Amino acid sequence: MEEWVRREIEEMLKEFKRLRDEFARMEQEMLQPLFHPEEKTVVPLYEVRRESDKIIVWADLAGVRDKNNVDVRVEGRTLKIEALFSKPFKLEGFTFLREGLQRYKLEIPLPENIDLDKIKATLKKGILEIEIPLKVERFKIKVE
Amino acid sequence: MRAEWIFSLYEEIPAPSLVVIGLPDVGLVGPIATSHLVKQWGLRNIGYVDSPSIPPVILFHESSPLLPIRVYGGYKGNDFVLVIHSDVAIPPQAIHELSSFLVSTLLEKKAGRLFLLGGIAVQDRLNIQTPKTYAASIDPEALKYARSKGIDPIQEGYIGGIYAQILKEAFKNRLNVLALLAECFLNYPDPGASASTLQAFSKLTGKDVDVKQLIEQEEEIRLKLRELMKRTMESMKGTGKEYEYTIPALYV
Repeated sequence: MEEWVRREIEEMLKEFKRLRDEFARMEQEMLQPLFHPEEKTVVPLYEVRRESDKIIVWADLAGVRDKNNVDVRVEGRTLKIEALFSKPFKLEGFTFLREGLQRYKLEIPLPENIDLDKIKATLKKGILEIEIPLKVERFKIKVE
Repeated sequence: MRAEWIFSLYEEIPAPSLVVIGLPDVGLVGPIATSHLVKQWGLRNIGYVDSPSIPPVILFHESSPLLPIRVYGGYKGNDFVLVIHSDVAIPPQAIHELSSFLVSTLLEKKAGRLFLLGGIAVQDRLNIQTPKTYAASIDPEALKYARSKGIDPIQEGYIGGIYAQILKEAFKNRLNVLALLAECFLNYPDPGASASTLQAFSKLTGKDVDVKQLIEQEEEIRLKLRELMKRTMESMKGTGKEYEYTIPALYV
């Protein structure tokens, strides 16, 4: 194939790609207000307390009644919490809440020495408590 | 330079025999309580408190403008009740000015008894069904009366934040003030604690306050006020709250 033909084809392909990207961007912009899952998601109020042998995490999941709607998992060294509201939370007249809130999402980095098998989570009065034991090496040192 | 503070009323009022203050602090106990009290007693918005020291915000409710720190008033029985309620966290640098301004204004208005409704954060709040309310006052007689109604005084330790400064100013200026502080969450809005302070307030004034709605809608209120709680936590840094977990040197 002659060089100029190859260059022409390359230019055409580049133009196709640019058009395809532009359409994708327009589509995303137009549909975002209708299908933007992140807008319906909030980070809950939370607190992390580190003790010598455990980490305790509390997250206020007000509006989440059913513990089956709470997903707690550890992925790598991150604690991930996702919870679905019992019903979408909307307040009449607040433009920033037009979409309503549907879920909580929270990610918390963890240290390396967590004891994965002994993590406990409980939901009480809409507050999630997660107790994460730490594997701690203990040495007793003689005091002289 | 001191910022200018304004206490503006839309109408003439009699000397209030009861004044109730609810300002954002731990668990938002105060503003939740005063907001509920205003609705329960059908009090009217009769004015506002304002200053360049508070965040430049205005609220709209049913399309009508509201200032963030509002004054409500009305009769409950024979008593004229004045409520000061804030929907904005008070910045640390404004605490001294606002406290002395409120105390001098209330002295000018010949206010009777002043109640500060608020919370005292406890670690084990999640396992407390009905939070206990404690009283703190500069007036031994007020504390004696609280005790006679089953409300124990805070025995030892620091109180920090805006209510501590109001207590200090009231002490210096001899204004009769009683803080009612219920056990509460530190950083989650706590309507259950607000219900407890209102019940204590009701015992001390002999005036009914129905708190059923606060208890029933606890989670919904927590959800609605989560952002105000976040702003309040940011504002609370450096307001002396950290001293509440400190043993003073006087115990040495």
